[in-house]
Amino acid sequence: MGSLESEVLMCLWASDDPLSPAEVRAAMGDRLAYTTVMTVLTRLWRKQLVEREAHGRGFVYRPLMSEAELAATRMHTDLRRSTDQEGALAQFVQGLSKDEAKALRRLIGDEGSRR
Amino acid sequence: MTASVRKHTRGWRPALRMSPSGEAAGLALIAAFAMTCTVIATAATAVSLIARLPLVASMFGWCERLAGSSPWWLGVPAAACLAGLLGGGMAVSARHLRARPAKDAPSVVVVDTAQVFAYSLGGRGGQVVTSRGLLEQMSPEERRVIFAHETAHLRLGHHRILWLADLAALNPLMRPLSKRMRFALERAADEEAVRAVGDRALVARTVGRAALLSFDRAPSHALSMDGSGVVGRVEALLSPAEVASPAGPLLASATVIVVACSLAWSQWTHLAGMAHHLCVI
Repeated sequence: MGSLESEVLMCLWASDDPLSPAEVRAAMGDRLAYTTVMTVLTRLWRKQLVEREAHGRGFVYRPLMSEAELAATRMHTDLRRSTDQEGALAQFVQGLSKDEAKALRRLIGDEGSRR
Repeated sequence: MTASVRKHTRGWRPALRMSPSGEAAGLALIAAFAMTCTVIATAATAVSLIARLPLVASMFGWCERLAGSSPWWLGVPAAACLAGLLGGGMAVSARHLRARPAKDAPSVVVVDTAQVFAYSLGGRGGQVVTSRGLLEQMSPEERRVIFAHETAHLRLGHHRILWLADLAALNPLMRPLSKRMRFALERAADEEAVRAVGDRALVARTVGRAALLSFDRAPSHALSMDGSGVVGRVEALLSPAEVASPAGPLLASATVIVVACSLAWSQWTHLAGMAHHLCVI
């Protein structure tokens, strides 16, 4: 999968709402041409990795779970079952001890679990 | 480990500064070197037993020098260690080879579960895997941080250093080094995320909140021991960028390695003798 495609996909996943090509372009820092963003979104749509709905005169796009992702999900379940805490994965969400949790809340403030 | 990071970021000003990426690379070299020494030292001690085995003796001829290089009974635990290292090495490598995305797999996978996790698989052209449960608890900016962090792991080829860290951990003496390697990798990816989103405090909050999310959901599974280093990561992110990883741990490791190597060197000559013997036949 191309790096542009993955960047655009991550952009869509990061957003709460469906995005138009212009919004995707803006979220990526206006680095790409509008036509490039449109091409990538269309390619992703054909691969069934995003779905789109009509909005005004164009479309807005949202990410979609595809067959490939379902296969990857299955792999994830297998990995989780076979690897332990310090397995082959470097987890972003690391486990905490009670003391660490206390220290963290002091450092970043207790914003709670809901945003 | 978290306590030692706090000590280093407060008060002690190291003469040598090093970026987390640099530290990860340096530790990887030390780990590779140390592992080689471990295998050589163990193999060379085990040779004294192996050389006496009737099958080996008949194949290569009785080699008094090798068989007598160390007491045969020392060769027993050495051979056991060697078998453990090789078997463990294969198990670790198999685990890591399994943790790769399928060919033509999408670069981003969001698993439809309430569980909270995010990780990367592979290197360049690899895959970021996260969960709906994590994403829906994070704001759009925080999600961008997570994606930037995981993408950095892929782009910088951290999966190889991770593999090395897990191999090194097979030797109990190298577990602290292995742990420090993992920490350095996370720090390096955190700094890359800072470069992507331009806000240290945001990355700090994301890392901390994600960990607290998981903790709040399953406090019964809380680690009772050392812990993970999340506090160290958040502290480093809340400090200005110039307070990079101190070179202290690196120098300490290097000292240990030099001592271990000098001990291994005496055994290396025995292995060299065996190689010469085999060629001479």
